[in-house]
Amino acid sequence: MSKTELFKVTEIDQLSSAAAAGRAADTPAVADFRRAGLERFKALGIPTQKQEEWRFVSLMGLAGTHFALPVAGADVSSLMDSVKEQGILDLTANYVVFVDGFYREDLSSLPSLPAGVSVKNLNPSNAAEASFTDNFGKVATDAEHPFLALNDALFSDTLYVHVDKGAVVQEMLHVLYLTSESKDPVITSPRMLLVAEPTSQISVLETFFGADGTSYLTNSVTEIITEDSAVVDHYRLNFEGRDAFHFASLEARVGRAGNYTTQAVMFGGGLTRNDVGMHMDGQGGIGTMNGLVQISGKQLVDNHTRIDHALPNCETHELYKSIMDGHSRGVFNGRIMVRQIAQKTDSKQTNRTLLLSSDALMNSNPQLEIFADDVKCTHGATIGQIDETQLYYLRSRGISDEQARRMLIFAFANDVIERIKPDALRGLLERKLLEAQEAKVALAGA
Amino acid sequence: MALLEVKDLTAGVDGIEILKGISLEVNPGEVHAIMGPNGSGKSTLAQILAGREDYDISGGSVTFDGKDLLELEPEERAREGLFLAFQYPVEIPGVSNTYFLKAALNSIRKHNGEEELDAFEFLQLVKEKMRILHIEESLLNRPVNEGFSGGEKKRNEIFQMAVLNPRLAILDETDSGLDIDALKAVADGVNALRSPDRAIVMVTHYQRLLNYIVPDFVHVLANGRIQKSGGKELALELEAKGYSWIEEKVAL
Repeated sequence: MSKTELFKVTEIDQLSSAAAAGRAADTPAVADFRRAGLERFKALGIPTQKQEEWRFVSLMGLAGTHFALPVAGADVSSLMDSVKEQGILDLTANYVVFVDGFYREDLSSLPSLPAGVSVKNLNPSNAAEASFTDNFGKVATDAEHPFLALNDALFSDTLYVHVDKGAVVQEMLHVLYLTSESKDPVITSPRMLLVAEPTSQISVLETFFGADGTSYLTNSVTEIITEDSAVVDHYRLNFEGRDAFHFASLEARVGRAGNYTTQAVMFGGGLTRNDVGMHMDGQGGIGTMNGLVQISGKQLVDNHTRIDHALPNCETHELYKSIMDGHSRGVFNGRIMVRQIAQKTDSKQTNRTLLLSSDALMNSNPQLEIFADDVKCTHGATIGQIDETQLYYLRSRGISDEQARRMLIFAFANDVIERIKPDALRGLLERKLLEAQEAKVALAGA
Repeated sequence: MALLEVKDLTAGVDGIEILKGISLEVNPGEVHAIMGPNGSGKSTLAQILAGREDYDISGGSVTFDGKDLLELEPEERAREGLFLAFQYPVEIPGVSNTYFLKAALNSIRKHNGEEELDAFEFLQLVKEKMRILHIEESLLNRPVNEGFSGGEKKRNEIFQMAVLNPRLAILDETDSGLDIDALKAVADGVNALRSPDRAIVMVTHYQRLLNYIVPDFVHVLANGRIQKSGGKELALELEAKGYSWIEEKVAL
C-alpha cells in the first residue's frame, strides 16, 4: 500500500484532484459546481483575523495541519459502541450514518419511514433528480465564505431528504456524522439537503461525533427549505472530539407561513465555527434559532448567525446561551436584517453567557440592520457569573455550595434544553449537562 | 441551655459598625419580636444569623444548640435547623420549587441521619403542608419565586419553612409590602407552625404583624443595640409612641 498523501488545506488543487480520484465521476452540472467552489476557495483562502467576520478566531493551527483524505469503509465499531453507550442511537428508530463523509448503509436503519418521505444518499454521479438539482447549492450561496466554497469543492456523498406535500413524519430522523479515529487528521465534507414541501412536517437531528485525541476537520454544509406552511424542527448536536476542527454552514429558507426551528447544542470540538442563516422568504413565516454552548479547557465556539427578513409579517426568535469554563473562548455575532419591504416584522434576539472561570472570554456582538419603519425588534446580551444572591439563597436552605452551583448552571442551560420537543433527545441532553457538571466537581475535589 | 444565644455581638460592613453589642436568648417554643426603626440593624442581625458573608463580625459570640454558629457555613446552619424567611426572597428562574425543596429537604434529612425521601414520599409531604397553609399546588411546578407577587413570595417562604421544619425560624420583615389579606394568610401560616419545639424570631418595623402573630417577648433595637425588652405590651407602647422616645433615650 502506498504511503498516505497529506495536504494542507491551502494545497487545494492537489487536495481536490486526489479527492476526485477517490470518488465516482461527477455529472457535468456537479463538475461545474465543484469547479466554481474550488475557484472561490482559491480566491478567498483561509481567513485571517484581520477579516471582520473572523476577528476572534485564529486559523493558524488549521492552516498548518497536514490532512489526509478519508477512505470509504473505515472501521468504526468502537465509535459506534460509544455512540450506543451514550444513548445517542436510541433517540429514534430512523437513523442514517455517515462515516468520514461517506454514507454507510450497513450502519443505517430506516424501519419506519412513512409514505411521502424519501431519505437518500445522492453522490455526485447520480444526483440527477429534478427537485434535488433545482435546490442543491441554491440555499447556501454565500460567495464570501471560504469553508462553504471548500465543501462545494470537496463534498462527496449528500443526504437528500424530501418530504412530499402534506406528508407528516412523526418519528424524528437522525443523521449521524461520525469521524473515524485515524493516524493522520482527515478532512471530511458532509452535506445535506432537506426539502419540506408545502404543509408537510418533519423533525430531523444532525449529530456530529468524533473521538477525543484525534485531530480532524469536519466541514459540513446543510441546506433546508421549509416551503409554504410546512413545519420543520431541526436539531444539531456538536459532540465532536476535543481536538477537532468543526466548521458548519447551515442555510435555511422559510416560505409563506412556514415554521422552521433550528436548535443547536454545542458541547464538543476544539475549534468550532458555525454560520447559520435563516431567510424569511414568505409572508407570515415563523423562524426560531436557538443555541446552547457548554465549553471548557481551550475550546472555542464561534457562532455567526444571520436572520434575513425579506418579506412582511414574519416572526423570529433567537436565543443563544453559553456556559464557559477554563480558558474557553466564545463568539456570538448575531445579525438581523429587516428589509425595507418587511413591515410588521417581529424579531427578538437574546444572547446570554455564564462565565464559570475568570480566564474564559466571550465576545457578543448583536447587529441589527433595520430598513423598515413599522417593526418590533429587540435584542439583549448579558455576560455574567453565577449570581451570588441566588447561590446564598439556595445554601440558606441546606443545599451545598457545590450542588447549588450545579442547580444554577443547569437552570441556565435548561432554558434552551426545555424547548427541545422530543423527550428522548431532551432527556439525553439533560443527562449530558448534569454529567458535565459532576465531572467538573469530581475534578475540583481530586 | 438556650436554643439560640447571642452574646455581645458586634458586626459591621466596610468598617462601619452596625451591631454594637447585641445579646439575646431564645428558647424552644418562644416567639420573639425584634422591632426597630430603619437602619437599626434588624436585618443585619437576621442575615448574620443565617450566614450571609457580606458582614465583618468584630466581637461577641453566637451559639445555636451549643454549637458556635458563626463557624458554620449557611448550608450547615440550615441543616442544624435554622431557617431565615427572606425580606426579599430571591427569584431563581429555571429551578422548579419542587426540585429546589426536595434537594433542600434531603440535604437536611441526610445530615440528620434520616433516609432521603423519594419523589412520591416528598410529594405526599408537600401536599400535606400545602393543604395546611392553603397554598395552590400549581406553585410546585413554578420556578422558585419567579413571577410571584410580593404576597406569593412571602407565603412561599413560609411554605418552605413548613417543609423544612426548622428548630429556629427567623422571619425578616415578612410583613413588609403585604396587604391585609396577604398579611393574614402569612400570619395564619406562621401560627400553624408554632410548636413547643420550635422558636420563632420575627424582625419587623411595624406592630401590625404582631396583632396576628402574638409574641412572647418584644425587643426594641435601635442604633445597633437592644434598648429595651419586654412582653407583647411593649409593641403596643411602641405603636402609640413611635420609635422617637427610644431614639431620644439613646441620644441621652
